[in-house]
Amino acid sequence: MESRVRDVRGMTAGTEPYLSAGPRWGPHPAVLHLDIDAFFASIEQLRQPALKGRPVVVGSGVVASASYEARAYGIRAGTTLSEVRRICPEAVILPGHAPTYRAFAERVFDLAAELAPNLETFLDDALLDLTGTERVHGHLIRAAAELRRRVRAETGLSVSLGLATNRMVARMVTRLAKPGGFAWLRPGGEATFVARRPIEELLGIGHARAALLREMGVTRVEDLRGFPPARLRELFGEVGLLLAARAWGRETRAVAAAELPGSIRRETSFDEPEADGAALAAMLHYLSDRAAAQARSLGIEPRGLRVHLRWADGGAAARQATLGARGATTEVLFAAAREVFRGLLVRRMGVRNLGVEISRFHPVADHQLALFEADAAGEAAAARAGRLDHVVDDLRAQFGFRALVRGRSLELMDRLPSDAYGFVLRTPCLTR
Amino acid sequence: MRWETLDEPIKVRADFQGGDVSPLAFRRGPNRIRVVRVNTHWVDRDGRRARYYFSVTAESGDVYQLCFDAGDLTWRAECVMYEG
Repeated sequence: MESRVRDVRGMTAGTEPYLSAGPRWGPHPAVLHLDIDAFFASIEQLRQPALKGRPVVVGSGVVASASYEARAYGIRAGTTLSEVRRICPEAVILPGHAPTYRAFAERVFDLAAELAPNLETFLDDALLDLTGTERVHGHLIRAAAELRRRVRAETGLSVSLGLATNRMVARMVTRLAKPGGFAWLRPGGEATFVARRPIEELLGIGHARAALLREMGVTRVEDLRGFPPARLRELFGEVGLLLAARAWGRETRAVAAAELPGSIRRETSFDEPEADGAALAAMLHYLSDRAAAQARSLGIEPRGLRVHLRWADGGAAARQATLGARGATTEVLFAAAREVFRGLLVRRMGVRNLGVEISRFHPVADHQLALFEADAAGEAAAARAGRLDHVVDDLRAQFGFRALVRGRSLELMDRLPSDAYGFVLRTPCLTR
Repeated sequence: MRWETLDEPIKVRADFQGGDVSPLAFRRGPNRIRVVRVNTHWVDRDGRRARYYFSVTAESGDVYQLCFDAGDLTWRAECVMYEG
């Protein structure tokens, strides 16, 4: 196969064919970045062969995933569906099915886990720490190439791979390999490699920082090197010091499976703006139940709660609250979410989108016993609700989530279709 | 492209070999539908039961999504996808 990385400016970098992969990686750190190409759209093309070769878009309201055929029209994640219909009338637009995508991702990550003792997974990509595994796998570049082949053979999905000595550079290298390629950068070439990359590719540079830096004439990573770290700190706070190191290709954060997620978010949009209070409360209950069940399955409790909505006219609103004890109890979380939600209802207008997000997790520990009688009564009620949750979780673990519909969520039974995973929502969130 | 939800129990003739399962044909009402291709398959482990999903192309060209529940050993036709 022809190389997709040519302009390496004398560095020891390479792409396929792997058989000329050169010397072994040796004792250097090795991080492999695996990225599933056009993830949701690719799965839809697998499920429905007639979609192969056609522009396919998955999303509701905005594009969540676009096939490469759709990308040829300039369609990207975040493009509105009305814009998609305008620039590509023949595009096939699908609402998507989160549980199916999750099943495929888990299969890909299971294969990756066979290669890497340490794996960090995200929605559609993963970082594999392969440091010191060459004795087990043999030549690392060939082992990574074999992983890509196995993913293709066993799932039908195309993945792009980037291998480097740290996670940031591995991700940057992967961009050169997309779609479906494999690129690697040998140890020692990091500073030269990142120098010519656009500033937006540097880890920690989002839209706002990139815009500011471009105004200052910084367009490539090497331009950032002219700034003293203290100046970058003035501009961007503590992250400025990290950027100063990253501008030389240095990134020290280890690959590690996240012990606690940053947040768990469950949200949906409505086919038509929803103004019925009972229907909104039912959806809020269902989303709270899903988020709380996910937290319980991980053995964690949230302290932070955020409820957000989007009005029919596109305006958005959100409010936050701090949760007390037993925040992972469905009824406790729903009660708090409903309170926050009431504070959001300040307009006479239908709701287009509704979401519940919990965060600031801590492992579940024994709860402090209440000192006062009133508190004790509340604590006893919360404890009962917690025991009920355990029973419900056990039943769902055995028979699937839809085996049991609870409380106010019952209201949704006549309103929404359901499958083995529960109610079928529009734009179901895929946060892990 | 159009999806029609079926969610109906079906009888399936399948090949169970080497830990893998592959549907060969199924009966839907009076019709026997032969599977000409398994387009893709995936396993969902939501809950302790594994559910095996298959996207299959029938002789007619229609694409069905079938589900085998390893818990109670039943098959369901979940939906059919038509062009147009």
